[in-house]
Amino acid sequence: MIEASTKIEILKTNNPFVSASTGDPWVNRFPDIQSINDKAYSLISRLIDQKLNNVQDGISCLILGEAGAGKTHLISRLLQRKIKDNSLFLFSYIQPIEDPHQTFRYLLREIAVSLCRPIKEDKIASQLDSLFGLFLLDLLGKKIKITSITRQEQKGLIQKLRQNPLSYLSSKILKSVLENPKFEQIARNYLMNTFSGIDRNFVNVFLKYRCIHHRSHSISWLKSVVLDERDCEELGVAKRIDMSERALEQEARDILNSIGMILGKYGRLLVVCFDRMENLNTLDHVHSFGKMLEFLVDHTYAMLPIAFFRGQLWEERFSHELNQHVVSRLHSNTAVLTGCDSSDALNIVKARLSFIFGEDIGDDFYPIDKQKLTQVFQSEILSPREIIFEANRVLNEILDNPIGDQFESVNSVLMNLLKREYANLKKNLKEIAPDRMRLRRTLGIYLNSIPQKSGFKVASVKVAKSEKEYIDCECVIDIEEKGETKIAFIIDDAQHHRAVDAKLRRGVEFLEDNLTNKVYYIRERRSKFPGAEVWKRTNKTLKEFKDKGGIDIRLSQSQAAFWYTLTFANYKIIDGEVTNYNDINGLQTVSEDRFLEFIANDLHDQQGLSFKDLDKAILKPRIDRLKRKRLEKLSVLQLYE
Amino acid sequence: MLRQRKKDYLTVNQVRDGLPVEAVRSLGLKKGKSSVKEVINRLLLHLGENLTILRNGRSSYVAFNLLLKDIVLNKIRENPNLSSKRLRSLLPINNRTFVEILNDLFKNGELKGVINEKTHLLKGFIISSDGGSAESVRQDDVQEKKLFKNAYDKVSKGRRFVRIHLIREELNWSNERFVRVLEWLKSELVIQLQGGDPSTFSKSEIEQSYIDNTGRLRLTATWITDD
Repeated sequence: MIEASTKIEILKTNNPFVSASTGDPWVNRFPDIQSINDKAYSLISRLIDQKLNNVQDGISCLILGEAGAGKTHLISRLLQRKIKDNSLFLFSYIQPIEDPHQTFRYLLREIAVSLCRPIKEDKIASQLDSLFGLFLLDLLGKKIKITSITRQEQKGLIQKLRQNPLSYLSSKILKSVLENPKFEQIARNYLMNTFSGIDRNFVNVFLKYRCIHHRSHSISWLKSVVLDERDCEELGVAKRIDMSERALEQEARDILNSIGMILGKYGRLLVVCFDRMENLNTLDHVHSFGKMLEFLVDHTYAMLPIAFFRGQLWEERFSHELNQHVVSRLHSNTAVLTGCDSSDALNIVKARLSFIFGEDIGDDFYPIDKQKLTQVFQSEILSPREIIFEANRVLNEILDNPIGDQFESVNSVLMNLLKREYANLKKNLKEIAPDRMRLRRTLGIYLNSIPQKSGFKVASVKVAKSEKEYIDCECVIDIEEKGETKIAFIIDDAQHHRAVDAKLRRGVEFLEDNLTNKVYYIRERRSKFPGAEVWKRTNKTLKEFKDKGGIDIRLSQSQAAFWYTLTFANYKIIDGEVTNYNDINGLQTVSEDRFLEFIANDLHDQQGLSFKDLDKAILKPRIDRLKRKRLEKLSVLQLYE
Repeated sequence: MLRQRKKDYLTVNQVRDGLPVEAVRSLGLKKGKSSVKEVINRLLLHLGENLTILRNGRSSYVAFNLLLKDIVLNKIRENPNLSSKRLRSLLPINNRTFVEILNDLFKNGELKGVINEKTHLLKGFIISSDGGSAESVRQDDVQEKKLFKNAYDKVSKGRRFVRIHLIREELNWSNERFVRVLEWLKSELVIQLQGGDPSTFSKSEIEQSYIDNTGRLRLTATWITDD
């Protein structure tokens, strides 16, 4: 039993109500209150059971709730169920698409990211690993002779895999089986014969994924990355570099279908959660989501899409913009997240206090006056977020925080949000593939948040409409006392030398168009860029690009984490998830304009962000080394003359 | 607060201590500390048409803007077995006004007295034709709720997140009446109010929505009971 004074001390340094946002469903800190949004959760559970019973049923689900109603928390509850109960469904989490021209590649990539991610923090096994274990169990049970083991050993392995499909990861005998060159041949034949229409490339990658040497490339391929020829050969897959956009989209559909086939065969189901849908900016984005949903419902096996929307926006906008076929599909299984009654509200407070104190507090809410809190909660239906805000307000009063410090300023809210997001991303960056479109969003944030003191302003911005365009963003910058300069930004995550070369070549052309033009080539260091011995021509073009004054920016892991932090924070701002409380205006949603203002005034100069480096390069005159060399040569000749 | 506690009036101190902290703070007051005078001065700026301040000797009250005779009758409806002395002590009016009102009510036949057999003082009251009984007050609420629901249904067109400004427009009530009913339905847990997305509302639509006493902007409402 913790003493009262100790409780106060604990709460001073560890306030459980300071954050009211779930943020990332993969990261779950506080205990869950099952009774909250129970109806919606029950609906989802019923649909999962129904779909597991008949994987061919075309089912989808729509969950509506305003900001703070617990949409992301519900997704987190689903994931926790998956982890704790070892449920038969697999889980994937999809954030809004950035490039509507890559609908199915994006869907595949996001699903692959979820499937390849270890779902338990302390484990390394991913959901795809367990799916492979199920396949292995099936294969060994088919009385197919695997050369290196005896029948008896084979039986023993089947037994082990039945108990735990992941046992192959630690079994020495199975390791030897998997390493046997004949195994891959047998397994490939079995998959191709069992699943009619399964994608051959996918089969090869599925079998290579288990091997540590091929794992990284396999994951990249599943994430729709255009791999280099050598990597493609190792994996035994077709080269994507020469494929048209349409063919790439079709390939993504085929892979998704193949995953669905395997899931269905082994009595599994993939729950696909679409979150933060408010970020579907344009009609194209909305239609792209519609296509994904229709595909998952009508054209794949064993996939259950669940879309989470803000209620008002769904009813007033998205339900009119989407194809009515999709809308009717979603409407057939809809749940609205209502707020909490006083008992649920008190349970939230109790659970968080108990968590922080490390013991069940029972009815003793000390230092909070339970009765007073009950009165507040009885007077209105409040959302979980509002309840946490209320508890935070009451606690701050008790902790005797000076007036003015009781409520977080907008800047402090934003800074804390970014700090949390950054810490999470830095830790889990490997779970996010390099993403040109998300980096492009951050670039947009940069261009919209140039502080006045920078010495230049953005006169106009033209953003590329699709992935196909080499230049992501072209803008005119007005530099004080120097006038206007055209700047092109090329963001690159390609892994094929020809694709990289084409982009750099376009950069060179842009530089050649006008002597004052500038080009930034932005690429994450995680996206490999082999040396001249492997990428001879591409390295030559890079050199030419740099010589002509092109600026090559390679984002380190921490810089990339910073850039993605801004993108994800931006999603949350648009989602209405970021709020602050003050004694004049009460609970307010932080607007996107306010977010940009904060970036301009408080974040722009941060070292890790690299925005300042972009500023510096904009202000510096372009250095054309080739031209300078020519001029130097000329002046030497003139001297001789 | 008056509606919630089903009272026609509360003392200023009761109001000061019963308001949510942030509302007290936004008025520039402190719970349990600000003087009655300070509280009245601040409250006068926000009372609107529906509320008023009543004084009785040293005590001050925040009351619904009703006829004093209705306040007396409502008190009798609450408990018809109060003696005249006890009734007087519970009302926010001075002795002279109390006697004038009672005599008028007796004269008009709206009220009858019941005499105590021993003391021959009034031991209780009977309201003659109670067109405005406590029951009828409830009837008023039912009627208001019905009107609100009709407007909600009409503008919602089957939606579950209904814009508050549209309901307000449809009802075309005075601000006080609209806010009173909205707050009552909210406190009765009949409707849930949400923040909505302000970026999809015009400035005037936001102004015609609702801000609660903690400063939360509410743009949409959802009817959560079955009726």
